Amino acid sequence: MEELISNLKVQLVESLNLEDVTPAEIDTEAPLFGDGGLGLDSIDALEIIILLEKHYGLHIGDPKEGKNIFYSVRTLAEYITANQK
Amino acid sequence: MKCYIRNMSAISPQPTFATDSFLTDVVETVVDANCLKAVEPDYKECIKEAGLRRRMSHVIKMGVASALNCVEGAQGAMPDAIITATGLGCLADTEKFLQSIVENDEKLLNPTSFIQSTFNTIGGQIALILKRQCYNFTYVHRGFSFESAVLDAMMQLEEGDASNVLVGGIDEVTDTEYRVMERMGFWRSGAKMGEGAQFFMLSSTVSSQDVAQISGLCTFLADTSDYSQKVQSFLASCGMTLADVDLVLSGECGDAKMDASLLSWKASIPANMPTATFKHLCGEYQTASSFGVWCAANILKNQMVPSALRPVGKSDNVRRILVFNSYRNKNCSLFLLEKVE
Repeated sequence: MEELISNLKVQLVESLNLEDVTPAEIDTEAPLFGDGGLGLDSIDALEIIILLEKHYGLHIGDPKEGKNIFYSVRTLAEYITANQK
Repeated sequence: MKCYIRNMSAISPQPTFATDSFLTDVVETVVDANCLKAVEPDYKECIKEAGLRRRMSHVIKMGVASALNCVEGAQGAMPDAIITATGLGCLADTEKFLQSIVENDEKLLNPTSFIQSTFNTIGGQIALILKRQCYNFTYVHRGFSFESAVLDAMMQLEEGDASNVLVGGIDEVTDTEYRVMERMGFWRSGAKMGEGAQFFMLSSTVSSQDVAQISGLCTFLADTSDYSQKVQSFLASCGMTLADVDLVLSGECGDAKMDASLLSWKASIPANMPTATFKHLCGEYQTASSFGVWCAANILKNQMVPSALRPVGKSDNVRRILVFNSYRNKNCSLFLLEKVE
């Protein structure tokens, strides 16, 4: 799980062009969207959907699940672990 | 139809951004260098919104930074219209998006490079940052892009639809573009590819601090016509003759074949007519005429022709400058700039 979390942080920095943030600076538990975290927006959500499909072969079928899956790096990692074949 | 340049800004292959010096410390062109790349500022200082900045490609940052700097020094004038011009637009993002289509078999395409690859991205970003929900237009007319944008701006001002118009020309160099154009025969005979972002705040009313006045503009396609006649007609439409012009600033790219129309006209003008050139400093690109206009306005403001512009003939008390640009011996344009008295 920890290795997956580290990889996810690197992939997020690269795919979202987070210039002022290093992977090590991303709080695993902090919210990705809105205040108090990385402050990502809806375009970033689309980029993360692409990231999940491209790197992990995962397609989020139910959009309602997105809010919980995309809450933090940890929830993303948990979703990948639970669903990757 | 005329307008006044309230302020201007340039990011070019020379140190032209946010400086009072005018081409005193030019970047010497390396003979082997095929591309002249822009001397870029620290964009974190120019574009404060990190959320917007992180998605911006090189050309968007150049354009937005130049535009914001132009507005910042425009004596409080805010644009009633934002008009941008680009020959090839956000090329790096377009290439990235097309590459992604090929590599991913038309699936899993990144939204950011798609959104940012459109030609009007720069104009849109400027409007978002300035919070100006005004007329916003982007001209993509190859070698006439900047000219079309200025013409639109002048008409907006003339008809009273706007009091201040922000107008700019932006293009970027990419390795892919260079390779493709080289295979088409470009850049083999002296011309160098260039890039830049020049912005101007144009106003309908005069101010004592204005940089210069644009008194006329015309475009024509290079053909077998008599260029002297075209220049005479243009100057006549401005109420002048070539004798009233104090300096000709021309945009030869360095490839004699591509400069044919421009060189043939220069050969016909009086030998004692002071001349200078600008494209060896910015390189060749579709909106390079915007760098020529920036140079001409600076000459009028500073009342000196820097040696970097390769002046020929003595030009004291420069009141009027004719800018003659030619792109690929096809798109020719004339700008008449005057000193604000």
